[in-house]
Amino acid sequence: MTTGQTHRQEIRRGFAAMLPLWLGVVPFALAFAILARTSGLSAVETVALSALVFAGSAQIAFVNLANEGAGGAAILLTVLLLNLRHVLYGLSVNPYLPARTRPPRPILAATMTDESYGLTMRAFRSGRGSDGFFFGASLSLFIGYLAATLAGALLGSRLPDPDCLGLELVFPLSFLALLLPMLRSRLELSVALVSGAIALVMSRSFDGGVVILTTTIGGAAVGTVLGSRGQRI
Amino acid sequence: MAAVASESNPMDLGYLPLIGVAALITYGTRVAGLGLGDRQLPPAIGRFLSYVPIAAFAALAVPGFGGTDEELFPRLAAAGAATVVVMLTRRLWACLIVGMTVFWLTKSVT
Repeated sequence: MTTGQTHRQEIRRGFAAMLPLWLGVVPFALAFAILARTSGLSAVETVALSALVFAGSAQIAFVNLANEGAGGAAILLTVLLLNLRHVLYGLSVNPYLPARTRPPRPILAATMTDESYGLTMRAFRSGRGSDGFFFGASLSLFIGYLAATLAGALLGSRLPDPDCLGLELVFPLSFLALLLPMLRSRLELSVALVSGAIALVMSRSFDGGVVILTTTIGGAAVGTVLGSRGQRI
Repeated sequence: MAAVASESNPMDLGYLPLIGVAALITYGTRVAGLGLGDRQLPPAIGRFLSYVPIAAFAALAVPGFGGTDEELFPRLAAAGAATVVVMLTRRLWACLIVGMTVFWLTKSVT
């Protein structure tokens, strides 16, 4: 599991591995900050959302619901629902991590995202993962995201519209790149195809976090059932 | 700093308590699974969790390439090109560069 490199080197490796994803995360954070500022949140509140919540779809839902005058309970319930997938991420990355991680798990958890979980799982599955890599990748995204939120919150609508470049495509492209090398058997390919179909249908009616949560549960359940039956498909 | 007309006072703090609770809830979801440490889970749960990355990555990727608007073809072309690059190189940055280039080129000619 460890590669013999020092912990600090592993953090740097994780940090660097995340840098290509900044291409998608920076415009996303800018767009979020502009949305938040034009929806009535202050610059301090906007940056606090990115610094403390640090979960894109939940932050956008927070801003939209607050803007529509929704109550606190509705906002918090939505945030919970959109973020429940993190529980599955934590459970599935756990077996790869040492009993005592550096930094400890409560700190490692604080900045876990779709992206850092994705890169870390890919690294572990190719024999090159570590707790340091996980932490470095998470920290990298956090810094880029926070800096872009700060820029967007302060400069607001004076910035050019980040959506016009179509950089939101970086996100699905990144996860396609993480997904494909994992498909080593027909069963895994089937799980991916079923999950993709569920996600495509659900995304027409539901927010991203809900789509990811339900698709992950549904797709993994299909894999478990088919795998335990030993079906050759 | 002069605020833009449609934007609020940059120093307002009214939402901070709600943001604080939202942060605690989000942190709870992050630490709930990871905080279990190296405790052993039943084998069936272990098998279920082994498919979580594949199902989650498919859920994170596929909807971004779908849709019915005029960008559908450029997005699918980008996905196709990115697939070839990933299979050949396994490099994330190469996949992003080629995927985005194909997207912009296809979008400009369609």
